[in-house]
Amino acid sequence: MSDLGKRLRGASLLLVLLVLWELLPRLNLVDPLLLPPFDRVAARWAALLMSGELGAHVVISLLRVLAGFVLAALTAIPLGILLGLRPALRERAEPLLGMLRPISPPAWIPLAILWFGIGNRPAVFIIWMGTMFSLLVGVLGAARSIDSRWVKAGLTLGASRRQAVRLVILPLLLPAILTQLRVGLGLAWMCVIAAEMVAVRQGLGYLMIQARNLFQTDTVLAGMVTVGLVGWALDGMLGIVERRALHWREGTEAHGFFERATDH
Amino acid sequence: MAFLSVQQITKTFGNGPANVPALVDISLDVAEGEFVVVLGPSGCGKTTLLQIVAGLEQPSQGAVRLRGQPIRGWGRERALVFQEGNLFPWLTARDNVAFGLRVQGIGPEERRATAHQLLSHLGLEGCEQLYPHQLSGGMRQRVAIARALAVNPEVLLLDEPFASVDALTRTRLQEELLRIWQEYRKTVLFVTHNIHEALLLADRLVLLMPRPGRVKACFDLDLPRPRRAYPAELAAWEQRLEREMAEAEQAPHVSVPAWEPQSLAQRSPSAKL
Repeated sequence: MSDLGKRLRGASLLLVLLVLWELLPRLNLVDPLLLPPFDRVAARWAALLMSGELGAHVVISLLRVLAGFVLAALTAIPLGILLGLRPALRERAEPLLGMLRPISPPAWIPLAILWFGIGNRPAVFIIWMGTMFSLLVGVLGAARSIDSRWVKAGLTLGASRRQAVRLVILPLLLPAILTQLRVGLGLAWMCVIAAEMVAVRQGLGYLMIQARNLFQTDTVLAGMVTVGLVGWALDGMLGIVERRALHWREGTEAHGFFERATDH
Repeated sequence: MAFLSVQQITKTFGNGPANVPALVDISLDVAEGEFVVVLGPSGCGKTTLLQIVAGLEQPSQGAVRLRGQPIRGWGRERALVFQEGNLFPWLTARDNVAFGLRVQGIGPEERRATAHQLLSHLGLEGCEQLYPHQLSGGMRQRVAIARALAVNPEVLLLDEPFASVDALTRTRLQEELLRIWQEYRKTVLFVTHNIHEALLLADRLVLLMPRPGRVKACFDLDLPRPRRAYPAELAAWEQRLEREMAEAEQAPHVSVPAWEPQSLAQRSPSAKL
């Protein structure tokens, strides 16, 4: 019941916005060229979907995100754990990380194009760069503040150092890793759209930038709606994974994607 | 030769003039199968002592020997039960107990059987699949003891294991621990600040005094068990120990500023501080 209530509340806010979106251009309070009414965007969205064009762009974007995100996870998680557990290494790496991290993902675009030309590779590189540092810093922070009680318990029960990492430290870090992955996937999805606005001929970002060039505001907005929907779905999927994997924790509550993403 | 022997252990935290001596010249022999309780007020370094015996802390000076062999680091022949909350929260009770077997490469069937046997032995039948947060404090400590027993240690080290459970549960756990001790013939080193608990459990009692931690006195408790059957003797012991504890707490602070390792080595082993 309360779940249904929550959903209704969420839907009602959306409904109000949609009505405003429909009315403002219709009443000419906003130039319909700049903000086409919702029904036109919806119709455009449906047409793009039916023609298969939208699906193709989404799939391409998702594949790039997947590649960059998996690369980022594979590099950032082991590296974060290593740096978290080894203060000597961490001290050496921290200035570098501190300097590289504030470079926003789009700032890598010129370099990515110089290095990788056009196509998928620069996009994957940008996603990797844009996601990796956030992931790395998050995992590192969790690893360095790990509670040694459980590690000690594992060691006194006969675990080797390697076993302690695999059987104690990894499970201990899993909540933080999953949170970071969720943040990272959101970042990756943002990066792909930015990356696709240059140097590619496919993908959601391309669709939108192309539509802008042709002054098809309805397509731009349809693209944005799709970006939001897909991002929401991705986060929801990881949220389910998170809840499944952390069932042993009390009161594991999923927080809103946008609340978290704006923190980073 | 003592079974477990703590030899002139000194532990200092920090270096240079800012160092803090936690333990000074602690010696202690434990016979095989003996139940030794280390009793002391807070700040006397009893947990540090236990961590040193477990191999999780290095002594600044001195050594711990098991069967005459100096210990090097931690090892599962010296299993440690912590005060609270150190069950692995992501594992069920059964998998917690089986952890020490898993890291030895023992197969799942045997692990399950051993864990089941130990858990039912500790009165936790039917709790195998529960996670620590689903267990009460007393049940968690039972699981922790079962987990330590599962690796078949020679020495069981317990660091105030019943400090955070209610009085009734505490009594039951103490009885259970004695039963386990008698059944498995383990050597036990048990740390507590609770006089009554120490008197109910110990063959021998080592009283520490704080700032820095030193041995104040040792007592042999030749009362038969169960000790509750001897209320008069227990009361007498309790009075005596309360007096000793109060003295220990008021003991003057022995200042050991910028303490140098050599100064202690020159002292004779049995020197009283």
